[in-house]
Amino acid sequence: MKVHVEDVSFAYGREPVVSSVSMELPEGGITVVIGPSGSGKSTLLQLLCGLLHPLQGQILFDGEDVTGVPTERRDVGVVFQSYALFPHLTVRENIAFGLQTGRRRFSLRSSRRRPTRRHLEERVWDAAALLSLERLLDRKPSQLSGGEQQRVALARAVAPRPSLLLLDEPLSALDARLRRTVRAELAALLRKLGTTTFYVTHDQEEAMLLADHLVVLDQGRVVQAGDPLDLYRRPQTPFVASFLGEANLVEVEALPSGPSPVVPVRSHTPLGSFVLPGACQGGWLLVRPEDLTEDPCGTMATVLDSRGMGPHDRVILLLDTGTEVLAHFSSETAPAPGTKVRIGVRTRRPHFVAHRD
Amino acid sequence: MRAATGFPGGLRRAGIAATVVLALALLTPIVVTATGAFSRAEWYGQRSEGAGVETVPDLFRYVTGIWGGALLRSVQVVAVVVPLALAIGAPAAWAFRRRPFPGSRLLESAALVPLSVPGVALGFSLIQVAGGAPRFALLVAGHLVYTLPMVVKTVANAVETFDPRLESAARSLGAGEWETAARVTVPLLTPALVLSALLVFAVSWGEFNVSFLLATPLLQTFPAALYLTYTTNSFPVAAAATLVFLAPVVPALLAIQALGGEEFHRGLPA
Repeated sequence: MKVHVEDVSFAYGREPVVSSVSMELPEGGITVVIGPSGSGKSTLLQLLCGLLHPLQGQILFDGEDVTGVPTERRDVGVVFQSYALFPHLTVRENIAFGLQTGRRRFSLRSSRRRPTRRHLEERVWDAAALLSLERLLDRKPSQLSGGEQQRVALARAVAPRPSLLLLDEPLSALDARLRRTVRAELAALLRKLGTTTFYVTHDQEEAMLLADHLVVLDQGRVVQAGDPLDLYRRPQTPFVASFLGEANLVEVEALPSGPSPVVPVRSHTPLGSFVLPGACQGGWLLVRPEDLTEDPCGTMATVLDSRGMGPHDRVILLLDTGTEVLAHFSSETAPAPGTKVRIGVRTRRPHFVAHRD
Repeated sequence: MRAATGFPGGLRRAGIAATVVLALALLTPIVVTATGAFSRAEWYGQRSEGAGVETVPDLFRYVTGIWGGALLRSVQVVAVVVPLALAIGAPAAWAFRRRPFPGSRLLESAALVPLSVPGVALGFSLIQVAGGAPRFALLVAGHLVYTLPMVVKTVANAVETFDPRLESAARSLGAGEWETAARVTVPLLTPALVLSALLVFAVSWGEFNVSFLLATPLLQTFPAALYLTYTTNSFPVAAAATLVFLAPVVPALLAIQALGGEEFHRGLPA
């Protein structure tokens, strides 16, 4: 199902939470919305599933306006951050819940019909098998571990085969180690299902791993949206640059434009001189820590701190010009603190983030 | 090793002492009444002929013989008040917490005020406002005013203990508002609903002030009749009647106790 959000706004009282957000969820793809807490990402999810109604704007499912349609008739599946498993029902009954609800036959899509008993059992079993819950079907939610509860929540949401799957920080309640394994499994599962998915997170790694389409939200507004790697490499604002991974943003002052506004100009920065687009109004050069490398012809710097992280060494350097930068050097090659090194930027034309008015 | 309660020794001893005092305060009247019912002793200088009862079946036969009408009336009142109090109080409590509106907190607090209004005042105001209404309806109304606050308070607290996302989840799974109420909200509130039903029963069954004021010779609840018994008959007769009166209350109170403990938390999210 194709989902369009058109100029949607929402406020709690006078406090705007979502401000004229427009976006398109690609059909069958995973759209990840990432943003700090309070950026309105969870509110946006609740607007999509109809638990909240926008003050302004429209939400379209396959071109059909569903803005005023109540949640139960939107044909969505939701995984809540708290999982919200029914504590009085067994795992089996939890999964079956969405297959037995009365409004099903009035739902927007004909695929969601009230199934027969045998059909019901099959569907519950299928959903349970998909998430390896076959042996837990008779347990109550309180008898499950956090990871198991998370799987039940997902099984319950996908069992009715919704047209749109909404996940609200589904991994945030798990501990770090479990989160990493579940993350990969979840990515594989969501791709296998092929349902249009809207996934809310504040975790950058989760976002990069899952997203087909990444939307960065800040203070209720879409800051940038697009291919996740493209957003990482070519952020349009310092916020996006530093929210998606670690970033060195080297200030570049406004330059006198060259002979013509389209002719690139060369700018001298503490990290070397680089070719910038013409008519530059000033901004920042984005140098990712992994773009910095030891370079005999590079800039002089002093190692302030270095720490082996496993996959790489995390090194904080002080340039002779007084700027601090963060570098990731390949594992176990980092010089000790106090050492003088020469560093350079790996890429010829690092990404330039222009000032915005 | 220190006991698992974690209370220091002094505090624990004080707790035990308080429990004993409370138990004595609660049990003494019952014990006195029970012994009184089967005694032929003197009471306040009045020569008692006794109820003429020796055994428990005797006692019940005697009391139901004299006060059967009042007993029946009390059963009728309770049978109407308990379901009505739940039907009004529980949805109101849910709405106060789940769909708050401007002033809903104030209204919820105001719902507790009737608990401290003297029954006499309440009874008279009921007669003033709706004197023409059938007495039975007035009686029910009077009892509702005293019992609704308990339902609202108990259910509101229970609503607070479960994740509102459970209701959202049901909606997202295709359940409408009524289906969500039936399949999620009510089952999760069941312990609180049973608890408030028992509370309403206990209060309504024992309510004296309003009932006495609104009583007519033909419309007397059991506690009102009891009062007359105490003032006109001998103590053993009244005590015997009291025992009959207490018979359904004690199981109800024991059930409340049980629910207040483990049962009440069963089925709540971990």
